[in-house]
Amino acid sequence: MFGFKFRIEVLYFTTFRKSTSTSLISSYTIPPFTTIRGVISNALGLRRDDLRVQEWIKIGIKPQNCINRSTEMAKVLKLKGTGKKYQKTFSSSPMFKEFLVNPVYDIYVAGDQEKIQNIYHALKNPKRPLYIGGSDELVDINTFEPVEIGKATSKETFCVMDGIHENCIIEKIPYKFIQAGRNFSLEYRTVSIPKDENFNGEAEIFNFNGENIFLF
Amino acid sequence: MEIKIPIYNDIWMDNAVENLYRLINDSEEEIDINLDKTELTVNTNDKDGLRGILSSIIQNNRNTLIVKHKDKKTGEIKEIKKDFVLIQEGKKIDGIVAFKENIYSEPNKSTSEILDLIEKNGERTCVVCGNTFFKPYKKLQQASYPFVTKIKSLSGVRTYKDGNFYSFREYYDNFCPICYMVGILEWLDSRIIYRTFPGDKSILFLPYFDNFEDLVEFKEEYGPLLNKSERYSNIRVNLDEDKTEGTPGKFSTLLCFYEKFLLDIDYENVIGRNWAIMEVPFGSVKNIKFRMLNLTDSILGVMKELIGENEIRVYTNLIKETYFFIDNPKGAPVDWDLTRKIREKLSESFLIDDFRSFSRMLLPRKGGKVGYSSETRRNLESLIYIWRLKKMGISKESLGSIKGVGNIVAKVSKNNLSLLYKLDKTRSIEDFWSVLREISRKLIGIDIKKAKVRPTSLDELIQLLKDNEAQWTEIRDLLVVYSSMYYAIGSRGGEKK
Repeated sequence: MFGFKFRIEVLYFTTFRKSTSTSLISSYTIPPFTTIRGVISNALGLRRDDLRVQEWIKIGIKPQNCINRSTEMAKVLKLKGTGKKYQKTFSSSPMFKEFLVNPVYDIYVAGDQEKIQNIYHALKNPKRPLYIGGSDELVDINTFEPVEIGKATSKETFCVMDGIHENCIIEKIPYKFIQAGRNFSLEYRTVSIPKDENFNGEAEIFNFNGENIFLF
Repeated sequence: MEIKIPIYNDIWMDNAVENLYRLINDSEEEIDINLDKTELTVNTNDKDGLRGILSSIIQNNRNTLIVKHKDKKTGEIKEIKKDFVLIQEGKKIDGIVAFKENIYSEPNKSTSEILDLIEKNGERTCVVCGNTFFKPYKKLQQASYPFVTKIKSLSGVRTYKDGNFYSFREYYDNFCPICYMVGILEWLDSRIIYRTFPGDKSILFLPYFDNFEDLVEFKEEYGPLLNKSERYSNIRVNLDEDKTEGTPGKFSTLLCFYEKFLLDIDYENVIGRNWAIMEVPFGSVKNIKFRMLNLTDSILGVMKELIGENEIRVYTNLIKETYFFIDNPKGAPVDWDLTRKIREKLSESFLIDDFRSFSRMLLPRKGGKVGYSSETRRNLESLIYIWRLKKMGISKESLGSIKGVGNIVAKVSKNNLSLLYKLDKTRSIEDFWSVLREISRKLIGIDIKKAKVRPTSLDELIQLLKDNEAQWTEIRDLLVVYSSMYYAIGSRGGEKK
């Protein structure tokens, strides 16, 4: 299996909105897997609703800085009309919005050599401008060379892990979309996000150039 | 039938699962129910029996959602829905609240329908729990999950329609009957801590744990502290009284809760320190505000130590006894609005372990000063000793030097507060030295015997500062606290012995 890492730095602020928060806007601590696949799909220039990337890769996440949160009062525009005609004005609603301040994440992707090479080149020369969270929240991406990766067992690691672990932030993160006609549903994964300590305990991980990473 | 509900890792839903477990358990009906760290399991062959149990717990606990109010003129007793309950209400019939939610208005029929739906397998995926289900009982709405509202822009996934343009397919329908039932019944939870400010907002506190067992234990422990039949607040003043506390804000409410928990409850090992604080506004649009508060072990330790060794309750014996006195002797002596704000801010500063902000709250302000009785002052000194000095490794003798200089600052600031403000605003140790130099200069102008100050304390403070340069900000904040304290005493005409 091949894999590589890329570092995502959100230039200023971003929100990874929880899909079940609409009377306020709460944010996940890390970008959901669906969001990361969205960035990759965008770089590859795939069309809307093209979910092929879901089948191509496995993903690992490592937060790189202490993630600060803050809250603002945001004016959220309400959608009007059917979408058939151009709509000029929209009513709005004030709402509390949680946002993350300049978060940085190392994202690890793994899969077949050909697919990984494609994604690597796409992220270096994306087809469209790349953003994460909101469509006006641009990102700075730094890619690292693909390497061959292998399974390993580690007793100590620092990355997002599957399941519930002590001294971590526990979140249920959207993992993939399931499409049935015009309906979408979400599959979630419960993850543990490390705060400042390494995980102690045996886990099946992958070795990316000496870094032990759990892949989802 | 078997119902399995795994932990959601969601504040509302996890409290709701715990609540459902407690309600069924407390009903003392014979049913196989089990809650372990990560899952609630209900096992029964008697679906009708389960429906009966659910229906009766809804009817028996309906009082948690309402308060009874006696009309002063007519003497009639009417029901009022608690201000924070986000279930829509119809027109009252004979003074009885009519909920627009079938599970509360027709529990028998509604629970029966829900259990029928739960029993069937389906292919739809629930947007809240991620499990598959057959058909929703109701859409995802604020009544069953307070973090949502009807807003199309945020509730759909873009997709094609007729291959021509993009439309939204809302996912409100993707809400399983189990999540609906669990979420909507959370309003029956008598262990939600609340404080309502009429016409403004209600604040709710929900404890958060990463496992059900600790959540059950903690909520079980603090349950007796709450009185669910009061409209505006449910923290009892005393365990055996119905009267509840009138705290000025969210942090003071939580602080008040903790001091009662630590003193009045015979707790075992579990003390919750992670809280979700939800603010529900008055008015028709219920866009809620939400924040998490994670208290540190060290702050809990300070509260425990103060209660354990000195029986001092930080809120009741200190913050609640702090006032803002107005300088104008002819008008009202206390500015109650500002007093409430200061009490709230002091509670916040303490709970988030921000001594800097705490000390600034005690500074004199335009038109008056913060004051308290000599007993409260002693409690404040005990708090400062345990909260700051012990950790810093500064002895009680060294505190004498800080107090001495505080007294000097108070005396030289009597007619001119700029020095005290300058002291508070120092941003570097160089600024601090400069202020201390200014204090030493001002000493020349005062009558030492009359003012009862001890000039040597300034030398001692300088030495203390040299030995603890890294902690200069702490020393500055302590000096601000004592200067403000002596200023308040001095302007009241001196300390009575």
